[in-house]
Amino acid sequence: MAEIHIIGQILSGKGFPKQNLFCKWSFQYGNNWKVISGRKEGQTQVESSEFDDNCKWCFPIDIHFATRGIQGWPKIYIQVYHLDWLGRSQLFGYGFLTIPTSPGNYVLDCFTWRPFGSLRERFIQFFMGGGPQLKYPDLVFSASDRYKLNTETMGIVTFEINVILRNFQKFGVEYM
Amino acid sequence: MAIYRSSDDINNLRIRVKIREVPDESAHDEAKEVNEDIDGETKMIDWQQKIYGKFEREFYKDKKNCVTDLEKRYHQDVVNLIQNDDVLFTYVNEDEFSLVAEGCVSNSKIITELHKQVNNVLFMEDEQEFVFKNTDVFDFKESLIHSLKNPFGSYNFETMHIMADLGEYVGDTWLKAEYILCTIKYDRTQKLFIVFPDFTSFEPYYIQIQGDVRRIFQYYIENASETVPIDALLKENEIVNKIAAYQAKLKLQKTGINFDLPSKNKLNVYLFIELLTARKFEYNDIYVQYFIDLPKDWFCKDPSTLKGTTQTSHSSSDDNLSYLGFPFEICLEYNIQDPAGTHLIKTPCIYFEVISKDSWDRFRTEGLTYTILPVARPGSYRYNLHCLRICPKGPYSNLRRFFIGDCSSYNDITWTSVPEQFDSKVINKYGTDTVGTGEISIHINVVHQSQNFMADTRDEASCKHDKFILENLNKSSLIKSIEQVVEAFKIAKRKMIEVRKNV
Repeated sequence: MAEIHIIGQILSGKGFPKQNLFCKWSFQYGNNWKVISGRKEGQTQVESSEFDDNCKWCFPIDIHFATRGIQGWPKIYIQVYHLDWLGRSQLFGYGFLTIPTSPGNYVLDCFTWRPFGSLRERFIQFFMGGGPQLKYPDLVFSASDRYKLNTETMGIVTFEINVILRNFQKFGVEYM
Repeated sequence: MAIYRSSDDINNLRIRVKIREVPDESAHDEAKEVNEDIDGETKMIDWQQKIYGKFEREFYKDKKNCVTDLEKRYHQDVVNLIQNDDVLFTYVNEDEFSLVAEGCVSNSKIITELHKQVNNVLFMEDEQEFVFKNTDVFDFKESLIHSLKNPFGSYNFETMHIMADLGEYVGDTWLKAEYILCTIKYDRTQKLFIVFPDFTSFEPYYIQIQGDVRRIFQYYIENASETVPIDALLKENEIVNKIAAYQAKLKLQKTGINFDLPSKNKLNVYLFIELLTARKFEYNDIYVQYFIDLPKDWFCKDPSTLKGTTQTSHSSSDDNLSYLGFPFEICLEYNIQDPAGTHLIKTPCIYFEVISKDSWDRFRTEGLTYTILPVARPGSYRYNLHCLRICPKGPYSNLRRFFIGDCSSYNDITWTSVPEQFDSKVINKYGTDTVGTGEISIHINVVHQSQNFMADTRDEASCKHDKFILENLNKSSLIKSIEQVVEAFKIAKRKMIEVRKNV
C-alpha cells in the first residue's frame, strides 16, 4: 500500500466579479483510495480584500491517503460562492484540479467556471442575483458528460500544495 | 535561561539549592568573622513544594491575617511547623507571586500610547472577570485579549520561585529582603519547563546586597531528580516499541498491503491531463475536443477515455480568455516484447480541436493543434499550444464561415502532425492555406508503473533519473526474454515427459 500526504493551503481567489467570497472544497478520489487521517472536505471563511480583487483565504489542507492503485489520483473539487449583502449565497464557480503526481511544492491555479444561463435567466440574474447551478454536481467529475454544459469563465483559485509520496517505488511506480 | 522538554511527570523533578554567604574580599577583616558562623544551607525542593519563609511564617501564624481557604491552610501548616532560621523558601503557583519585569512588559520609563491602550484593555477585562471561551466561532476581541495576556503564544505556565530571604533583624523585627534564586515554569500540555537561571554548571551565582555592609551570597542550583533505574528504562523502551509495533499493525490492517500491478512485460503509463485555458480565439463560446491517437504497441483498457469534449465556455474578457479547468485521466499500456530494442517506441499524440458555438448554434472550427504526449519520462509538464485553422481559398468559404459556420472542414485531424497514411520521405503541406489563431494551455502529469522497475536494484535509483524509458526497459526486457526462454523450455520438457509416459 502506497501513501501520499497532501499538505498545503487554499491561498486565494482572484478575478471574480465581486468580493465576499467563500469556497467549499472536497477531495475526489478513486475506489482504491482511502483517507487515513485529515479532513477531506471543508469550507473557508467569507473573505473580501480591501486593496485588490484578490481574496486571500489561506485555508489549510492536510490529508493523508493510502492507495491500492494509481487510478483515481486525488483531485480537489471546489465551489466558490459569493455572499451578498442580504446574506444570500450565490454560486460563483466550480473548479476541479488534479493533485500533482510527483513530490514537491507547487503553486497551482484552478480555473473556475459557472453555468451560463439563457438570455432570460441572465436578465433575472442581473437584477435578482442567484443564477443557474448544477443539479448533479457529479457532472463536474465525469469528463464524458461535461460537453452538455454551457459555462461562463469566472476566476482563478490558487492553491499552494506540498506532496509527499511514500512506498510508491516499492510497487514499480516511477513518478519523476 | 534554559528550556527543557521531558516526557516524564514533573512531580519527579527535584532541585537541590545550596546557598552560602561568602566573605567580601574587599571588606574589612571583622566582617569576615561575622560571616563564618553562617554555614551554607542546602535544601531539596520538590516541584510545587511550599516552604515558608520567615516573613510568611510570622504572617500566617496570626489567624487574623488568614481570610481565604489557601491562607487558612497555610495557617494550619505554619502552626505545626518547627521554627528554624532558614533563608530558603518558595513561592508556588497558588501564591500568584509575579514579577514586574517578567514577560515582555518593558520596564523602561517611556510609556507609549500603545502601552497605555493595551493596559486599558487588560484592566477593563480584569474587571469583567474575563474568561477565554473555547468556542469554534472566532471572536476578534477575545483573540486579541488572549494574545495580549499570553504574548509568548498559547503556553499555560505553572510557576514556582525559589527564594531567599536575606533580611536582617533590626531590633526585634525582621526586615525582609527577598531575592529570587530561581524561577521554574512548566507547561503541562507541551511538557516544557523553563529554568531561569539555568542549573549551575561550574561557577555559582552570586547575589550582592548593598546595605551598611556589603554582603555577598553564592548559590548553586542543581538538578537532583532521581534518575530512572536501568531496568525500568529498558522496560519502558520495550513497551514503547510494542505500542509502536501495534500501531503500525493497526495501520497495516487499515490500509492492507496490496497494490495493483500491471501484468508482466507491460508498462503502464498514467496520464493526468488538464485542459486549463483557451485564449485569443476569434469567436466567443468555445469548447475543445480532444482525441488521442495510439500507435502500434500501445493499448488502452477503456478506449472511451481517449476522446472527449469540454464544456462550452463563455468569456467576457478582451482577449476571449476562457477557463476550461477540465482534468481527465488516461491509463495507457505499452507491451514490452522487443528484446533487442531495435525499433524506436512510437509515442502517442493528443490532438485538439477548438470549436466555437454561437447563439444560433452555428459551429465554427477555431483552431487545430496537437502535441506528442510526454510518455518517455514521468513528471509534470505544461504546454502552451498554438493553434491553426485551415482556411480554404476564395470568398465563398469565408462567407460560408460567417453565415452558416464551417465546423469540421477537413478530413483528418492528424493532418496537423504527421498524417496517418503518410509513407513518403518528405512531408509536403504546400498548397494548404492556414491561419494562426489562438492558443490553449494544458498541463500533463505522467506516472509510469511496471514490474520491471520493481525488480530493478534500488542502488542505482539515483542515476536512474538521467535515463529514459527506453534504456530502463531494454535492460530489464533482456532479462525478461531470457526468463521467457527458460519458461518455454520448462513447458517443453514437461510435455516431453508426459508424452514418454503415455508411450
